[in-house]
Amino acid sequence: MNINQSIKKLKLHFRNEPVNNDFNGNEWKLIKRIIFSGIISIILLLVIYFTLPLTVLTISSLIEYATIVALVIFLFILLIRYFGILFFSYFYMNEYTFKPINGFKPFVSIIVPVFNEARVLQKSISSLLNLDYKDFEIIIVNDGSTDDTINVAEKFVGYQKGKYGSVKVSLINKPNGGKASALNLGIKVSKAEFVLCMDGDSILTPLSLKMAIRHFVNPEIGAVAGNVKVLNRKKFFTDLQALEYVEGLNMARGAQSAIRLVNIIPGPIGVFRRAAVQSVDYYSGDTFAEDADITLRLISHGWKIYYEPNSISYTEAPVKLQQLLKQRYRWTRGIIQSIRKHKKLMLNPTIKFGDSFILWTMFYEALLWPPMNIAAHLFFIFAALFFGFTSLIFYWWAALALLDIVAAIYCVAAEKEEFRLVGYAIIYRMVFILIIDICKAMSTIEEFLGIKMTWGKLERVG
Amino acid sequence: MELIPILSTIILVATISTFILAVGAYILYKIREGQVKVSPEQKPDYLEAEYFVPREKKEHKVFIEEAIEPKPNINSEGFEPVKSVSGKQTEAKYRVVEDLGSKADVKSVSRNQVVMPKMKFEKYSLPSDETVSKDSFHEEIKWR
Repeated sequence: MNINQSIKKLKLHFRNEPVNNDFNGNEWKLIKRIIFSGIISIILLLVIYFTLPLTVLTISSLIEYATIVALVIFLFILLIRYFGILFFSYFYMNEYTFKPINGFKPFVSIIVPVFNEARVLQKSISSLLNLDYKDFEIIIVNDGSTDDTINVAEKFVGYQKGKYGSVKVSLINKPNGGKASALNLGIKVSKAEFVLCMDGDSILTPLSLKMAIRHFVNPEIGAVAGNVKVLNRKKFFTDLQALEYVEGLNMARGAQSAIRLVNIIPGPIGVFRRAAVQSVDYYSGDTFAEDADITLRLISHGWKIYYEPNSISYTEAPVKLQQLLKQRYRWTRGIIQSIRKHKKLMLNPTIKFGDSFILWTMFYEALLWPPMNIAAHLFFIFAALFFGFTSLIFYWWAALALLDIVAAIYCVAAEKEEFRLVGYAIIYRMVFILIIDICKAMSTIEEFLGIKMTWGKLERVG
Repeated sequence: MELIPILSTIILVATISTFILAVGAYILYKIREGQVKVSPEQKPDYLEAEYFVPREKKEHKVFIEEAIEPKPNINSEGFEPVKSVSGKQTEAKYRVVEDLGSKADVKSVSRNQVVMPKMKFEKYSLPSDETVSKDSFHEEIKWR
């Protein structure tokens, strides 16, 4: 880089943080798990084999009976979950709408960790310079990129023209060490009391920082989770993800925010109080979901976490199925790793009921729900093919589709999203969620068996 | 033919196809991932990074004065701002008097500090200006 009088170059000496992870690579643990799960499976099969003839029903009647019971139980759980989330989400929106806007606008450091983001970095930094906020700086942390990222980032170093004057842009070039390590270095270098952590490909809307920072007027708030939306739309999988972000993620986040216990501060946008991050010893690199992990640690340290729907970050979603599976594989294993790190809190609700509750909901969503959904699908296919209950599968689909359409209309209206996304609700559960759940179930098995994994990098289109 | 059996058949076929697609794609993904060999490398305990930071802009250091009427919380023992997380006090109470960026060699200041020309403001202080605060204990405060 061309060092002139206006830019100074410093050397930073920092501890190399351990990267993932303790859960991988233990051969003996793997063998023990396989033996244990094998024995459990054999016992279950023996129980079914010996107890089935004792029932008064014929096999055909048993299947019919079980089909109806499964349908009722499945829909019951789904309805409880949906209406629970809808109720709390509405409760939150109601509270949010009447929340007064204060003038709290402290100095903020925006940390932009980048790894091979040359194609998208320019847009990302330009969106930051357009923020409707006066007092902030940008710290780009180049985590050992191998493409042209460094040259793109260097162009921004100095004082850039922002909406309300010049904005200081600094750059840190470090050897590759993962996102957690890059964010930590950026936060440590910054001297601001509040930091906004984002992804290198995220594009923030002008009001995002202003809307998020106002919640910190409450000293109990340790972090504010932003609203992530899909940038690259008008493609089959990205449109489905756009609907998922609105209906599946943001609605749930709103519901969690009603009790100030958002369980994941999304990587593309999260604003933190420095004291809160320091109290949990910064980001940790020992899981593949550093955002879920830091959120759980903040909650366990007593910090409240809020969700700000108007703090919007647009991010590129995977376009191809392979990329989508890669992303969800990492998310699922990362979340399971984070839950395992906090299993003591989960198993003992007397320590902190809120923590235990939020961990159980994560456990349900990541581990229990996917196998349930897959099993239900398999069961209905089996009942339709071998016992002729074909019409049941239609009624089942119709019930689920109706539920998804109603939820989609509410979420799209609440977030002022594109109305055409509601159309995807018809196939959302039967196609998209089924694919995602199969990936989640497979990832869970692999995590349970301790199979090694790498971080992986989503290729950006720009 | 009735509509429901036709729709049921379509849904059944779609569900089975989705299953096959998802499992197939997952297996393919694992095969592709398996081909990428990651060699475990020994990483050092400490690393070095380069930090490029722009020098402080002189025009950023401005002389300011209080532009509002004194409030009841300002007593004769000095200027004591109410500790509030809202931060409104430092935001709205001052106005720029003079920009000495290019004229004077001002010492480096942190973001929340303000540079006070002492000849003008000997009689009251900001919380960050300790020396002036001490003086205010011995003298009566005179507001401009």
